[in-house]
Amino acid sequence: MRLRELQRSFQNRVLRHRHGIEAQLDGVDAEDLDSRLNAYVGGYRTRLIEALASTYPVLKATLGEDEFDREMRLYIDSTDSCHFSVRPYGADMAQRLLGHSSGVSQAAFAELAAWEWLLADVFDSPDDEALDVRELAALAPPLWPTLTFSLRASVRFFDSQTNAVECWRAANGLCEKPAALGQALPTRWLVWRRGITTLFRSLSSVEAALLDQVRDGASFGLMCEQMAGQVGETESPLRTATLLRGWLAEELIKDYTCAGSLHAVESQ
Amino acid sequence: MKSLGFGLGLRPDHYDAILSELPSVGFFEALTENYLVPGGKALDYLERVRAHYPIVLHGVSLSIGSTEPLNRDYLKLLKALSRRIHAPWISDHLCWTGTEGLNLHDLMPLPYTQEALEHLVPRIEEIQEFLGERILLENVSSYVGYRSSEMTEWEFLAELSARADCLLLLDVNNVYVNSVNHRFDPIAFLDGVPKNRVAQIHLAGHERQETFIIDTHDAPIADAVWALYQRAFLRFGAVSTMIERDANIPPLQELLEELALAQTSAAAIEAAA
Repeated sequence: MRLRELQRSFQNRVLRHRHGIEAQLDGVDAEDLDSRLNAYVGGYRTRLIEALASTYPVLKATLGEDEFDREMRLYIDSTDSCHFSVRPYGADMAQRLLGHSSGVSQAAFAELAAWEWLLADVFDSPDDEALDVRELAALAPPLWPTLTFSLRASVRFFDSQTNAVECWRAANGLCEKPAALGQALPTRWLVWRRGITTLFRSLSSVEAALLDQVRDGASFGLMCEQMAGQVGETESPLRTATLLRGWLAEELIKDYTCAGSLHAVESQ
Repeated sequence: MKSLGFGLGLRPDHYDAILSELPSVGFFEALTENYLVPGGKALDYLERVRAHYPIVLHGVSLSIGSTEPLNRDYLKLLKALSRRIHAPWISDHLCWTGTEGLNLHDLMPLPYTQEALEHLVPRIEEIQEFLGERILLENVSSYVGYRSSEMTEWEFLAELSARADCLLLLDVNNVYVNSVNHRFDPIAFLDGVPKNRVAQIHLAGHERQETFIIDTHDAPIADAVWALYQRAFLRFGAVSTMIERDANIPPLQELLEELALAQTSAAAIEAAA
């Protein structure tokens, strides 16, 4: 058997439990060969379960060791790993859990998985520098309505419909454990990394809408207009600027741009 | 290649202890794939440890023996990481890790055939040209052997390293594991590996099954492996040597004590020579 076929056959044994490679291998007897091959077959699943447990520690604790193991083995047998690193494996775990069956607890398990995946994503997202508030303070007032901002690479938003995040917080000693996984008031969460520390907090609807605008490239002027609808035109610039100052202090903002024509006005 | 002395695998469990205690080790070996990420904690610690120690890169995903095309994206990331941390060298395993676009995340054995050599040599040459340096390839442990093999593992290593002009990372534990699993004399293995190709030595623990041994890296180095290391030191001299522990990771101090045993063993052989 040529090298290519040999590798395909061996891989089929590991992934699909298909026999065929045995004829190409040395072995004391069939039983011994089987136990040796199982070092590869079992080892593959053990390694992926360990990787998934590392990505989804609270899901594992919530499902329990046995149920987690059962779920992950089903997942592994239906989902091959295609990346050179084991790190991206399990990206669609939330959809997988949701697809199993309907119901509040299933939705909560799926949301917990989505939350843990998002935290892992933030954990090793690109490093970048936060914008220094002093850079903005130096800008001429006429430029402000044209300012647009970019968020740092680690910034993520997460919409929850269940108390999965609360369960995650409880598992990490940050709050009391809820009675059970279940529905909760819809909440938008902001998640980001400062240095190597992952941070998160919930957002009010007003702040969430403004951050959506930032993400979509709206100008500071447009953001003030949106805020005016909530607090009136007089209060709007100050309230928007206060939120912006908070985002800068939290190191959410990476950079800004402003209109070229106004840059020219400033330079005159 | 210049010896970096005695080192340890860089593991997240030990990051803080390493940086606070700055133990007396010659180098750390980082698992390449753990640091092929855009940013965050792993890279941050890697840079901080590198400020105090040389860090060599040891990968598991080169898949040099796979019949799939080389993964150029992986190679680009590897090169960038190596340049970033000024890695003294890059190593990976003489194995394949998957085919048909899939990854088994395991070090799958190759048959020791002319066909495999013909396949491997140009791939190694291509990688070395891309990286601009010679790479080290490690002998892997295996639980099965192929009927099609035409030579011994050490003959294969010798011919491969000569034809591809690559270096070898000699895992003494793997030599021992394979000697039990495939019933050969481990001394013959050591004697068959060319002296001038071995640039690094690995030591590790294993787990004995009923009829074979699994290379688990989850236990202290076994006595039989220590004995084989002494023979390896006699043959290959003072090449960079490190202990690999990937599971059941003990406190840093425990691994430093085990590393001191390797140093003592090597010093005793040098003194007697």
